[in-house]
Amino acid sequence: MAEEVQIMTKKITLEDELAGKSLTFYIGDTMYGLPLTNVIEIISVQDIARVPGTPPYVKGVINLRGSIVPLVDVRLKFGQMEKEYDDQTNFIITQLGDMQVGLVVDRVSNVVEADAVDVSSLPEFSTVNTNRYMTSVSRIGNQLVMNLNAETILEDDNILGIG
Amino acid sequence: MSMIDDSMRPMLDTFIFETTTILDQLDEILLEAEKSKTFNDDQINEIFRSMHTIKGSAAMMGLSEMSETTHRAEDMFFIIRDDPSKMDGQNTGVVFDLLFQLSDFLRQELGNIQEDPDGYDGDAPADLIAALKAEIAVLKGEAAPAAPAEAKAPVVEAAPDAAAATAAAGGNVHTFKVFYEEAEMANIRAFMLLNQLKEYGDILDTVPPNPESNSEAAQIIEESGFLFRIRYEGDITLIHNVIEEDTNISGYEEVEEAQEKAPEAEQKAPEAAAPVAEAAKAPAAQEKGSPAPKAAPAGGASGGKQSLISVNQSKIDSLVDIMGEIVIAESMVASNPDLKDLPLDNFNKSARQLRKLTDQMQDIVMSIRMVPLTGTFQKMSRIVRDMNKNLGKETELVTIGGETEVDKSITDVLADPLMHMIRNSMDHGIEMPEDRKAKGKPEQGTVILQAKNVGSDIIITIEDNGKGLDRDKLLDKAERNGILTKPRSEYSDKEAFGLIMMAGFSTNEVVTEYSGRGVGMDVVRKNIEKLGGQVSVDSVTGQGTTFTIKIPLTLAIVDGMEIGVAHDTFTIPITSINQIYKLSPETELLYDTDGTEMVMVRGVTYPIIRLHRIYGIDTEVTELADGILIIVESGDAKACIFTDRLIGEQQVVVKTFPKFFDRYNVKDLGFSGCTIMGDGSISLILDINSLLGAYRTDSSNVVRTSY
Repeated sequence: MAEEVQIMTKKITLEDELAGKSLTFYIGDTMYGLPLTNVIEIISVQDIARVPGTPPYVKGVINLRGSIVPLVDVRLKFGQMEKEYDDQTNFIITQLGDMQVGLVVDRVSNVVEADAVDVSSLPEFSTVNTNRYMTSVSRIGNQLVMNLNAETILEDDNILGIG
Repeated sequence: MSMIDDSMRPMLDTFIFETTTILDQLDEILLEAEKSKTFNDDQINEIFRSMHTIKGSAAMMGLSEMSETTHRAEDMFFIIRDDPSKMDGQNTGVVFDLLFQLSDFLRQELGNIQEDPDGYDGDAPADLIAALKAEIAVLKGEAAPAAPAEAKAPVVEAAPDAAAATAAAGGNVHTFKVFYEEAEMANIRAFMLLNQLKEYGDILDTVPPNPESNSEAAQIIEESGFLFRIRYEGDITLIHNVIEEDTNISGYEEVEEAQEKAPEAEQKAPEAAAPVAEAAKAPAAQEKGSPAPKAAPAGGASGGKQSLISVNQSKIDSLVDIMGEIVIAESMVASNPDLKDLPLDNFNKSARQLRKLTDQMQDIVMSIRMVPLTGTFQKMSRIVRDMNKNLGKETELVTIGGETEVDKSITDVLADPLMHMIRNSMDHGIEMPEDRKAKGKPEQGTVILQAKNVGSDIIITIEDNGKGLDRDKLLDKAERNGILTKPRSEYSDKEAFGLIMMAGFSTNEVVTEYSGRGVGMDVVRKNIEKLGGQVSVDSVTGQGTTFTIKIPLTLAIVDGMEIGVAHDTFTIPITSINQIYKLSPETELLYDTDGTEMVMVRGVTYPIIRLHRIYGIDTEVTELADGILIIVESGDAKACIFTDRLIGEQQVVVKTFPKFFDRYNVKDLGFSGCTIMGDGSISLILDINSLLGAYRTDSSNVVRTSY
């Protein structure tokens, strides 16, 4: 998958411009950052067709201008309580590896420079499962940003046993 | 160690397509020629030309290994073409084998390129090249006394003359004008020619300039020819040769150069060229006709060719998608609820017209994706040939109905199962020649591969006249492997034969190269079922076995019944539906020992599959009498699907699930894909075959149920 991501990003001509920037969004009070190179677009809540036989965090599929895009609820994926979608809920359509996936987030915040000064690598709690989804933590003002690892975010999470 | 020339990258698809087509033709010729044990003149010419074209285009792409190897084969055929009598018994076999090896090598390289154009790194097949060289030597060695080097030698002999000519011309500048006949990509072919000529001299300039990167060049060249000036120090006949060798060139002329020595050289050159280019016999003439003998077969081939164009498959796929949307949009407009009860005579008339046109258009669009099975069948001939050689069997493959057309997506998936079944027939079915003789059968076994259209299905049969299946042996084996589900005596012949396609069954104890590599017939069955098809086996012990495959013609558009469960909609392919009905509240339900609900309709009991239950959907309709029962069948399995309501019949465009869902095995849960409805919502398409497989309660066997 790592290779796929590399190949993919190579193709993005805007890469230079996008590199080093992150799209930030909230799940509850926690702010997450996602590399902007992986983001295709942000859309508001749409009708979802459920697909039986999938874990609860796979909300189903949506019709994005004629193509079928799967939808993952980040809140549920990270083992948090389900929350009803409201007018702040957004679907972030992302390109992860060779797949297009929509991520459901509580609300989208901003685009920030990810290589801001206050970046620290993660504490070595390798047993903490959600760490697998992170690359680093950075700080914007008083706010901590958990930078997501676009390559692992879709990996199945057996320890939390969602599903 | 070559890589693809970067500037040629855009041509890659065309190159692969063209070369594959040529290789397919080549295989066909080879198989045909091998039957008659010799090449006729047409075939030799055809092969020579194929080699030449592949060599040229491979060189153009920068694929030196491919062009180098093909070049040797071309050399070989150059000799054979001169004197076909050299193809005597011993050589024939070698030549055939070399050509098959070459074809395999080229295909493999093409495959590698297709897989990973960026990482492709060709590797010269030293063995093959050496073998080709050796054979060339053999052919030449025998040739020397017989035919005292008529056509080859002059190149060498001409050298002294040429030297004189060169001395006179002294690095002259020559201008040539070349014409291409109805050539696709004339500009690229021109560029190819220049590439070849670069070895001989400096190309000074061309009209039009930079043919390879100039998209308008093709047209200019086609209309007014391709002009280039070359500074050349050697024998001008070599240049003539190169140009004449190019089979795409229909004619050329050397343009008079306003240089002092040019006229002399001009006169000498054609003279020197004359013995070499036997074909072009007009030495004095400034303008030469096309090298007739060489061009004739080419003209024959391209003249008789249908006007085909190759189109990127993704374009057709999106065309099919849009076609589907149009069909839906059309019905949305024509039966729009806003128009209900309005007097709309004129509108309805136009709507009917539109309907008719969209139907026609849909038929045409769908037919674009249809391809004949010929190509797939040809591959099978090749397999039979190779296996005959390796197994020491004599088997003839008879193909019938290769012209039958099926959807491209199906031919792609069909090749593997077919190949496996043919191998199976040859390995397990057809006996060794001596055994056959002992049994009073003709020594040569026969496998008949036949395709035919039956309604919206296509039926392919693979019939061998081998030893057939042994019912008792099959049952013994199945018993040992523990895959029998009922007492032996209750198995009908058909069921017993069907055992060979069950998972965990393989009759051959000895693993051979061809079958028994852990990929059993159950994989074949699964692959066919994935296409929405069915396989059945029939056999007469001692006389042969017949496999019958039934698959739908197309997978792209399905007539579907839309059903609703709470807020979710599903699509059931109409072909799977047997009957739809509503239960009266008085109907009694039956329960088996596991508590599976069943309903009896006209004396037949059907297990009930409640969609809301198996898919975990909250719905208010849980009483059977409140909803709808749909009797579905797939193969021998039947069941009743319980749903909240019917929405209506609709033609839907099948879209595959995004790759994301591969990890969740949604296909095993009974979904074959999804489709976008007229209102933009998404409906999941039920695959009745796998649905029944997953939730099957076998109607014929009431006791054995599993949920």
